[in-house]
Amino acid sequence: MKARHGGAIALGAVGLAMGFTLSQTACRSAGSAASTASVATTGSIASLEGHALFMAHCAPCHGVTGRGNGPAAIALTVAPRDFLRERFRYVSTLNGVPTDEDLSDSIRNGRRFGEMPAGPQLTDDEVRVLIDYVREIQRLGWLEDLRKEFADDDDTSPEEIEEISHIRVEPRDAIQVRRPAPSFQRKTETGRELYTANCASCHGLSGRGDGMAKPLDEQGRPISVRDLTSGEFRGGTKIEEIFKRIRCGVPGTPMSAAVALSDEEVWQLVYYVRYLAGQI
Amino acid sequence: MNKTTQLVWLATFFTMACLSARPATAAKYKVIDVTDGGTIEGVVRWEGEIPKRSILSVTGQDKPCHVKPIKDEELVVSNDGEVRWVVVYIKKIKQGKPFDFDPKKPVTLDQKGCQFSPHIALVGKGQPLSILNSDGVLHNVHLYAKKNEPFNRSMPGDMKKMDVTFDYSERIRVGCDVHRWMSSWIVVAKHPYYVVTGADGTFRFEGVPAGSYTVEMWHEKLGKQKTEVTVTSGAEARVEFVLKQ
Repeated sequence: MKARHGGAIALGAVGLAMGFTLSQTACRSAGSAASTASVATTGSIASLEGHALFMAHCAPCHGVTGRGNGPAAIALTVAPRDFLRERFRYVSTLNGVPTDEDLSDSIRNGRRFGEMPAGPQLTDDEVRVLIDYVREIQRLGWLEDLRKEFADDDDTSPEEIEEISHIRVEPRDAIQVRRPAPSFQRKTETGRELYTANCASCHGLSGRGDGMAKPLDEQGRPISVRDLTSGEFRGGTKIEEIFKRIRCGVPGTPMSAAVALSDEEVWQLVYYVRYLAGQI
Repeated sequence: MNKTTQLVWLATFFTMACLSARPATAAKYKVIDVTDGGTIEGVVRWEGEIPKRSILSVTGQDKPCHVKPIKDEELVVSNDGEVRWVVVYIKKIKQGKPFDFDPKKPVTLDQKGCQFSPHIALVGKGQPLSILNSDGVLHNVHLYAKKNEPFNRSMPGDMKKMDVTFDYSERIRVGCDVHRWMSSWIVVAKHPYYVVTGADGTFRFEGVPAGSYTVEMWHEKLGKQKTEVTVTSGAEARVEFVLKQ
């Protein structure tokens, strides 16, 4: 009898925790902010499943807490992303936050010409859960940073800090990428001029990535400017993907977003980049 | 427990959980009509040998970058020992005068001679800031914001102006990756009692409601200092900060 009561109490406690977490999630989607200590301790069903998936598929490189310091990281030439400190690189939005599709692409297909492997064995549901999980890790990174930076600030309450951390990981709508008319799908003189004005300072006039001295990422670490003649684009080699890299930039790096150019101008740049890569 | 009771419990629990998660707001600055205010004025001084300003190492082929030597703006001290580019503000002031900016006249942050000008641009929350490109060469405006949206946007030579506004008060470091020596700050003020010292190192706040305040200063290299001051109606209170290496 006693044991049965104990079991009922334990089950009730789990149910209460689950209910609270679910209602918190519902509140958050309604515009409020829920407080969490760490991804592993949020207690949500998604986070627990996400934690298990993350441990199995991501932690060997990205580390148990997502700081990019997993045991396999030492063998890699490119450091795995530190989800707490670094921004996601490959986005199709203008606020520098990846959409679910962007993250799904990285998880499913890996990063071409990089060391992030493809994960085709994952189901759609598992990818979905992992996306939520890594977003939450990144949000906690923002939260930690914001709390540290604005601890003494009299203009921002802890609750607003929490709210801002959610805003920082919320993607805007993806940009529209419409393939241009066939007459545009070639190298043009305008494309060359646009390249000279917008890209050559860093990528070099010939596209070999030799226009900029000692580039650094936002963490102050040396990085290389992409050699466009190699045709190896980590963000993807499809023309739509090159379009996104030019329009949205590559967050966390010196590659800026070309917000001032028209779609036609970006397409002309895309085809000039393909020309430099020897692909047209 | 019947179904109705369960639903009532669930609804109560959901409401309580939502209320507990709702963000509280910080004590916000309140605008009042300051009729009997006083003034705080002062200066930021340097103690010790006057530091020499270095000439920045400029690379690349962009002509505007080589018109004249670019001096480091990080620590600028006059021959008389007054410190420039210090942000001074009244900390935790609860109420006072309104911002007096004209929405049609934005503050500007220019990129001229491959240098940001001014080195510190002071704007209020919601006040427009026009980022200019007088150089006619490619710059990229890289904002390392935290409370506001961080961004890194291209500003090619033919793009003369980019307008931005900020929702939150903070100090935002601004850089240009094309010309790595370029560095400046955007300070988004939470109230009008913010000022950036000029070449003479002085600052002045007018229309401060009578009362006791903490005046704080921030310098990008030398950090923060604060001091207490009492303002009385119609009088001038004097504050001095002393910096050293």
